[in-house]
Amino acid sequence: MAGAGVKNLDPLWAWQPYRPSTEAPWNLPRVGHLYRRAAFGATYAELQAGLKAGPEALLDQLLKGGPGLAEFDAQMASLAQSIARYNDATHLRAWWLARMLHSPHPLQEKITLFWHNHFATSYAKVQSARFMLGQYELLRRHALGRFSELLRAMSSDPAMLIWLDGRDSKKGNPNENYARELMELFSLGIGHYTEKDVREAARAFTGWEIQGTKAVFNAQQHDDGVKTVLGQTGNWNADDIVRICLEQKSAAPFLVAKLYRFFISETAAPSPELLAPLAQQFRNSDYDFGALVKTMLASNLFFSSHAYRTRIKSPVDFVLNIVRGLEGAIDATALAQSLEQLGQNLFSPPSVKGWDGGKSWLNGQTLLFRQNLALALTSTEDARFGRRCDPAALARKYHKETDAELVDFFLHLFLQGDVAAQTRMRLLHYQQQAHKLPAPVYWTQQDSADQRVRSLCHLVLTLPEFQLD
Amino acid sequence: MRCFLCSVRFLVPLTFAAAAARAEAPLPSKETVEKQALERLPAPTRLVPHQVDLLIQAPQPCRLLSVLTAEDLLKPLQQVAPVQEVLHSTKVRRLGQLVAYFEKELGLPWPQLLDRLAGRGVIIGVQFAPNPTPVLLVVEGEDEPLMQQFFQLGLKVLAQELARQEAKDKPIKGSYKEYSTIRIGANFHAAVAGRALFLSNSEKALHAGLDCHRSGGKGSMADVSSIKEAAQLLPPQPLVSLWLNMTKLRQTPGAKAAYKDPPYKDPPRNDPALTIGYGQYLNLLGRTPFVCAGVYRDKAGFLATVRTPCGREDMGADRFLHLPLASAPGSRPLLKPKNVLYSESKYFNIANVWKERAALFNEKQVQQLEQFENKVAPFLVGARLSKLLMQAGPYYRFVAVHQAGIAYKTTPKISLPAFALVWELREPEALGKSLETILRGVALLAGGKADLRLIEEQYQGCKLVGYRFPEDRPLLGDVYDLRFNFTPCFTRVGDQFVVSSTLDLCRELVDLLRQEGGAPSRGQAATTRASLYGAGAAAYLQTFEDLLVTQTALDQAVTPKEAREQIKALVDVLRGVGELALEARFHAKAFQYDVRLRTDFAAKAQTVQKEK
Amino acid sequence: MTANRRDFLKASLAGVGLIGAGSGAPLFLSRTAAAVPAADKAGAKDTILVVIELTGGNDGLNTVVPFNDPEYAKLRPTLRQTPAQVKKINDQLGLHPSLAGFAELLQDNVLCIVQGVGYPNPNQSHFRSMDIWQTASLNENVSEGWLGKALKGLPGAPSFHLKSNNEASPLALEGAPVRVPSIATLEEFQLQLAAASGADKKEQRDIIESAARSNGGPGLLDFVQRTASNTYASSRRLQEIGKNYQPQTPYPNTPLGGRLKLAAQLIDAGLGARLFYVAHGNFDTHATQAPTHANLLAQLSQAVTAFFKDIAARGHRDRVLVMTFSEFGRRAKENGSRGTDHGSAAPMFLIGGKVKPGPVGEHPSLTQLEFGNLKHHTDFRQVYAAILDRWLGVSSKDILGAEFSHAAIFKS
Repeated sequence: MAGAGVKNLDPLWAWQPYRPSTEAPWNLPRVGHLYRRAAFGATYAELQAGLKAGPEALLDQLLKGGPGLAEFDAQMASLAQSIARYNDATHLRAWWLARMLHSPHPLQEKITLFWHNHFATSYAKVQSARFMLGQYELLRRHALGRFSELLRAMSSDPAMLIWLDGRDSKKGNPNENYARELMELFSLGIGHYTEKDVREAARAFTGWEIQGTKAVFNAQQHDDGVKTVLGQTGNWNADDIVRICLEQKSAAPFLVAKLYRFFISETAAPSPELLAPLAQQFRNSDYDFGALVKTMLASNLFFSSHAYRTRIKSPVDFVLNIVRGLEGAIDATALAQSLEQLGQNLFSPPSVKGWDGGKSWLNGQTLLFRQNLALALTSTEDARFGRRCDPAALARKYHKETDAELVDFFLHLFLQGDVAAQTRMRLLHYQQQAHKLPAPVYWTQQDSADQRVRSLCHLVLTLPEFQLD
Repeated sequence: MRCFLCSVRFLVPLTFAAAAARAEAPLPSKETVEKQALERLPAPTRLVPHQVDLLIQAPQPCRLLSVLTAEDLLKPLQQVAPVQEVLHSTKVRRLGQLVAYFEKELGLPWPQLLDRLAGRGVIIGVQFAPNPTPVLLVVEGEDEPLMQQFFQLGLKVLAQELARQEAKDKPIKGSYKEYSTIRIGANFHAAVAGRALFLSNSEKALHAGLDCHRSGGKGSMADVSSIKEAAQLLPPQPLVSLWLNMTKLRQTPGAKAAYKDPPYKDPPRNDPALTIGYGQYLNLLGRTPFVCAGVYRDKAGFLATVRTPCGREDMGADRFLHLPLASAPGSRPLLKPKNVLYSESKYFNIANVWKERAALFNEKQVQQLEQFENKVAPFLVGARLSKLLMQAGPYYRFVAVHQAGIAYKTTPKISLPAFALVWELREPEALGKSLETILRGVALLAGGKADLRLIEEQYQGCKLVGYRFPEDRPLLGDVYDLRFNFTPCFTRVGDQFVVSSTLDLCRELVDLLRQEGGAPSRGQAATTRASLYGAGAAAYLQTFEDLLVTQTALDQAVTPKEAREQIKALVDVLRGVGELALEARFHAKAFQYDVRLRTDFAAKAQTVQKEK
Repeated sequence: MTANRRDFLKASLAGVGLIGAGSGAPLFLSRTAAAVPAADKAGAKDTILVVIELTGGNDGLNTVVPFNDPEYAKLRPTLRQTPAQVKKINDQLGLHPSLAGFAELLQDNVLCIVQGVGYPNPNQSHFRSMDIWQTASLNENVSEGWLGKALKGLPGAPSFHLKSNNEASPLALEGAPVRVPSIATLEEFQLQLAAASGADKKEQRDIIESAARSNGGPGLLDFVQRTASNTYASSRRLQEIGKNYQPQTPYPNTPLGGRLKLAAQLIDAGLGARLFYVAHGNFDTHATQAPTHANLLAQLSQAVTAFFKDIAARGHRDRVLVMTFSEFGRRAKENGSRGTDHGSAAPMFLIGGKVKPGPVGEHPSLTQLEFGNLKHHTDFRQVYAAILDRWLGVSSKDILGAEFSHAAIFKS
């Protein structure tokens, strides 16, 4: 099963582009898998279209984004202006959630979320929606671009300067916070640098200040002396330190391993040999992250059982999979607030390490909140969400009426039909005998039928398989 | 959805009278005879026991419902997206289904059901007693067998609902004298007696209500004299009316704790702010045997009025501060500049704060006041606080308006309304001069940090003294550039002293005050008048359009363009609200507090029609 | 295992068979090595801390009263508690008459009163001072609370913020690795279902629980199934508790009573919860203090006493520690409105089977005041240090940023 044979995988085979074959056909589970990892889930129509289109065409579309992106960006930008002006923390989260939900290019939002977790900066300390939005833009712009450019730009990002105290770092009194996290968390990983490197590098990051709404470089406060970092000596400034870090052998494998955990699997740590070719490619291409993403998503390994359902859905994934599947026009503000209880408050990671993810998303409390949130979204009786995502309306849209059709429809939509036969039978049995159960006397036939459909949808969403990504 | 039978009832006496006047009177129909017999029956207050301390009744539920669902009220509200969402929600639709079910089972459309089951009124009685506070709900109709049917049907549905939710409690039949009762759990008791339905959370209350029914109203609220007094105090035919036994309320432990030590009814009180702010109301509440209120609908809009049988007579020291002499007006006319948001006019005899301090405050507070007067003397540049207070008059007015134009080049990020305080002076010349000197001094001190620039202007014969913020430098702490909402200034117009946050508003007020003239009797009898204006509020809300658009776009999941349209609909509704006016008036032996909502929806709808 | 947990496991195994053969013990009930604190004799292995925040600034001088001190009568002419009224602790100190329950707890040797608690350069702003107490730091811009940091050292331990409506999560709990849920009622912890009838609900629940039955294989699906089955078992347990909970002593019908009853239910549910946070207020009595203060203290005393007695009767007497704190005390001299203004030093109450009973430290002097306020002699971080090191078993030095000598609140 998943994880068992990862250590013995052939790297050559692993990263070659996937071609449908009899052992690994292009089927609905693979379409769903791609949509879950490279986007935030799919609608019924998208699943059917993806199946027809084939892996290359579908991946191409997800990498490039759909039509209407420019208009969408313009509309969201106009909303962002008032959020920045009034420092509106509540709508800041709702805004990004709305982007993730409605963007024609969800892969870009997903990668931005990856970078947000990587450079984990929290509004709790920055306290400025403008700066958080600025950092978001920075991450999004470079999401599928070059990591080297992103890392360079990050050293002067206002939100980061506040978060890791860069703006307090002055000549003669440098603050080591950013230099340390740059090496430990952003580029190299623990064990690939020494304390002295951190101290010296900190001197190179001095001189940045925040004036009004911008980050400004104050040469007077910059320590332009000679520094020795990771074996290289010179009058290094911020860009130089970034360059030096990226020249280290450990940089590429560190990032590739992180992306592996994000895209391929959380259950088994990959062997260095498996990642070596990717790391090599990443480094040689001057850290072209877009190419790395493309290679990973197009690979045999990605479409194999080693990657299928080997992650736990993060709260954002969980919630957006449901809303997208139900084709709902959801209240983004209420949804963003409910994500807090599930443990993922956008723009406010718990610490600079970000969200640990994986199994830590699920414990006795968060799982219960997930199930209850799924109920709130589908029952139409919750004041926060109303009838925005009505499974009964969706079933009517696709003309699914009989019990078997409905069961198969929801299993198809959310799990691509990939559940144990026993589960399907149980659901079908429940749906059939639900007709006989008493309903309140004043409900109409239509109301009872709709209620059954909504309950069925909720039951499908509570299946343990749905927690898997 | 008009209540056909309700409207017919009003016509009946007229037709009968008209018919009787003719020589050959046609025989009245059986229905009219029945109706007349019903007319002679007493009101449903006879079904509520006399121990009730709070009574709320809707004497004609039909009319109430038709008012609430009236076209001109519902339509504009329905344009607002969140309201639409609530109306289409599952819970509301299920409620509709429930009503449809009752219609089907009982065989009548719901307006007729309402008339037959609740035509004589719905009444709620509450007694001030500890847990649980007994509440009795009585619904009286016209149709005895229908009431029984309705009750049985209701119980059936309720029992099923309880079973559906796996609740522990089931309906248990019981009896009390010749009535059969139903109990669910410890807190739900119900019975039907004749044409009336009784519901209560306390068994004792239910039994008391049934006793009233048995005795034909002996020992019920109908016999309580203050109910009749209240009915006379209030205008006729309220939609909903309320009566509260203040004597009993004052005896509850919570109120006692607030009213003892020393008694709050009369000053001096522990907290001088209460005496200054609300002395007259506290005194009233301490004396009055009951308070009654009613809600009405008239052509212009809605009226809610609260009345008591006590007035200016017997008011103690509070009258020094809050009551004018019988010959003087209660307050000056309301000022209504352009784009007004809020305008108020009050009587407050500030001179008596000093003159009658011995009667109004306790020793310690008087000492503190005198000490304060001494402390503040050096700041007042020669004048003494006591003298200033004595020179001030008893009438003041306050306005807040939406600023359409800003006097600076820089636009503030958040627009604030302009506001002004207008105070009447007893000795205009002297006090005017003192105030001017003091305010200039204050501006010098406060303005030092902000570098205010002085502007003096002559306008219509009045000298306006104002200050501007410099536009070329930032002010520490003012992230949103709020200071550009202000050009604080002051002036004197006859016996009125105006302090305003902007020069534009000041000029407008000068014009309005000059128009008003200086007749000493100008004004109205009400001691407090305040109004909120929908048009001004709508204009002010529009300055936050971008914030509202973002919020709406995210909450309603629509594009910015659609969000803008939704905001426009909301603003139109707000504009249609017209005016919310509050008024307090003290008569010799009565007091009334009126809240009027003058809606403008009809006018809007008409203009829209005409445009089409 | 305690009898409680044995019964629970039996019930769930027999009833629903949720726990598949071969899987590990339910998540909540398992005591992984990491979760066992290195707590020494002061507390039993999984000790529980209940923190009660007295919001607004409790008047310590009228709570723990130096009734014989002549200065006291001078400072509090109208608000003073007379020797006849107070509940005597010794011949110098007495408790406010409303704290009858606390007097009982003192008789039972489970009440400890730490006097004169504060911090240097006391701040009199509600917000700033509360931040200082909740972050255990005099620095500004600290975004993590002392309890949140403590929870980092207690991995896998559920904790709860029992809130009233519209109460925000306190700063003290920020920084926890898993966000501490704020709950108001047990319903929030129950698996909710929308169903047409009771029978329908039962059918749905069966489906959900049977889907969580794992076949014991390795892999992620199995992990999810096991987590799910634990969750549903706890949810069932909580529902049972909610319906059938018979408190061993009656709880007062007040909001605080309700919240502490909820805490007792959660403790008894055997979820392994370690930390509870409740707020009670508002103690900001600037005018007419006497009736309000008496009322609030009465509610506090009744609720905490009922809670402690209930918990003790269920066998958790030695595992539970209740701590009260407030952001500051109040001014020594009363003001002109028969109330008091913001002050600084005040007492803290600690209730538990393992505390050292009686007063700790001297009552602050009523003659040597600092800007009219009582001077503190015990830094509040000393109390925190004792609790963190000896009760919860996490390193106080890491959390508080420095070594603080422990306040003597525990029996040795």
